[in-house]
Amino acid sequence: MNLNMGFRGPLYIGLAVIFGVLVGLSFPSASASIGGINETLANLLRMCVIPIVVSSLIVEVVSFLKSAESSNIKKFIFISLLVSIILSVFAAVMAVIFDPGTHTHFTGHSDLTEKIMEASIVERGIAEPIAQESQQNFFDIFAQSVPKNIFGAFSHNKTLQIIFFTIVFALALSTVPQANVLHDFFQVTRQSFLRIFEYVLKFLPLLVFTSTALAISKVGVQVFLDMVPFLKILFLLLSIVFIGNLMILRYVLKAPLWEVFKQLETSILIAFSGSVLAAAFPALDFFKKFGHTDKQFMKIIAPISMFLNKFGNILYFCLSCFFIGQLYGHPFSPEQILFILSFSIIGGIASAGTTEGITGLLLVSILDPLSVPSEQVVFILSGLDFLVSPFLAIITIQTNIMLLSFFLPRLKKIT
Amino acid sequence: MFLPQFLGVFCLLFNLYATQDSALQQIRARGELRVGMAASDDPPFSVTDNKGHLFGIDIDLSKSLAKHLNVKLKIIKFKNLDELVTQLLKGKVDLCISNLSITLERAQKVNFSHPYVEVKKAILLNNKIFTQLKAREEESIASFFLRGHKLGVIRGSSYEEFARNYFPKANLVLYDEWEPLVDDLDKGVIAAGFADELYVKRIVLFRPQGSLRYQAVVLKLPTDKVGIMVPKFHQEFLNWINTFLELRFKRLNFNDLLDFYKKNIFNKVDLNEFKHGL
Repeated sequence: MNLNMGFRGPLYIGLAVIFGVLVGLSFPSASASIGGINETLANLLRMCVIPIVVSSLIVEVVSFLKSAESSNIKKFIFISLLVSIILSVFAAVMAVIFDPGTHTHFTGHSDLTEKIMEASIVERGIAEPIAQESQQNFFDIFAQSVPKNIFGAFSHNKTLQIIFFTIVFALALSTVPQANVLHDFFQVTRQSFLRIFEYVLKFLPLLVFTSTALAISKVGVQVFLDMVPFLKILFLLLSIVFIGNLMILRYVLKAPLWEVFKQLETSILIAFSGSVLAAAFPALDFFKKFGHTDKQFMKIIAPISMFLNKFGNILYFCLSCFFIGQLYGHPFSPEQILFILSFSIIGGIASAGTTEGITGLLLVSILDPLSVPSEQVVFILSGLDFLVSPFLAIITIQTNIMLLSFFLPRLKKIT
Repeated sequence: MFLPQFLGVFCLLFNLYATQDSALQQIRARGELRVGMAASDDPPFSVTDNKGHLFGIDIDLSKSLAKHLNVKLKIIKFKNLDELVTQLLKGKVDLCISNLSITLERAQKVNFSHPYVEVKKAILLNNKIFTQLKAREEESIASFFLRGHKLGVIRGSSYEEFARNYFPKANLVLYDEWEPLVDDLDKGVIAAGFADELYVKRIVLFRPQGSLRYQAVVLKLPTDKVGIMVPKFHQEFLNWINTFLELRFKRLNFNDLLDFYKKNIFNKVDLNEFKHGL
């Protein structure tokens, strides 16, 4: 996919964000009325994502199994795990050093803080259980990745279930002698949807503008001001990882830093649309631009890696857990820190392809066994999703590209 | 042989009845309604603003009563509830309006009007202590206090009586004021506080980090009814007060109290200096 950004360039996206913030703050009621435009554009984008994911996976898995690249999988899993551990430890160290939770105080009143208060007040009989309905845990989320009904999974947009089904289907298809018929069908399907996707992206600045205005009008500026200590550390953490990744890519690809950055530009800008999956597609072309195009391993592993290795989310989970603990004045023991590190990694994988708001649910499931009352803060963090998600998507995609770059020398040798 | 004794008792009762029934005339003749109130501020019922003026729901109600009796209002403050009752029975005040919950124990000594405020009873839990419970999902307020957790209440308040009735196994800790109770709750010295929903929700809504540190559990129990306290046998006066409440006063609930709190108290009182109940 070779996107010509044109007026979708950084200048336009930047202007869209600025105007979105201004309109959201100045005319909150008017912002609510642009919800329709926002929803139309976002749905057009989402409409293409699932068909592209499904057709890409089927085409590539079938081709992959016929090739001799499968030996790289162990190495891929090992490097993925190593990178996840490094990132979660780094996030924990940053959280401990800067201690954002103890510097955060909620002062303002907004729709979001009202929601938190609603959650803090319940009405019960004296013999009725006090706690809210029990939360799902991680293992429920993993168990739910297997669809009961594939049509249900498609109609309810359960991405993890769709990916699971697609891989199983592709594995089965590769064993069928007449697989080529469907293989060709899905190849054409992918190309068609990529074409639609590209047309929709022409409206990216409008989508970014409407999303920003809508989110700002709903959340209110006070919540951001209250959360400055957390956001400062989060963005510092993401910036360090971003620069670190660029340096590694520069070293591995032996390309100028600016060139590496430029090739990531399209993904970075699409991440502002709010769709991680959408931002992953142009990233798949990254290696093509550096002359590594045809290897089946890259074609199949790159999309799976981007869908499953949510490195941005791992950083976010880990930092958020420490932040919430600090906010409640809850110090963690070494065992609990180990638990948070491990479950941030698992949470990153569990959040892959899941719907919006799942990050909050996963955070509650990590902190609940540690007896940290996190439900209320999770409301606030969910309210900041629109601001944080694009940057997490950028880190996820860029770290995946960095990780995959370690396979290039070997692929070169094969070539 | 019983006639002299009977006549004696009859005369005493008649005299008492005649004296008590003249309460309305006495107030009119005096030209002043004397209302007893607790000395400490109790927002939004009675609050002293930055200029030293009293305002609040109890003040408004007292003013309205005096206006309809066509007399002046005199508010007399007493340090606690026991003194309020004592002075009321001695006739030093005509009635007491001071966010007084109607309870069976109090009703043995004094009469209460129909309620002018009706709020729910509520528990304020320390979120951290509550979250540390192992089987949190099954825990109810009743089972929580069966474990002997410490429950803070205001000494001599209706909630001390309610706590002894509803949570007999709770380890009661008595406080003279609500503020030190909340401070101890914050530190984890006690696990919960028991008061009306206004007191409890106010902490969650207005105290910094209140919604994070506490869980408010509004209880599905008979509501806490606040009434005007009058001496026993002032039946005619009590009837008049009840008629007044029926015709001229809308019974207030939690939302009315909160609105009053937001509209009047936040604007008139410097919250940095005024911390009662927050």
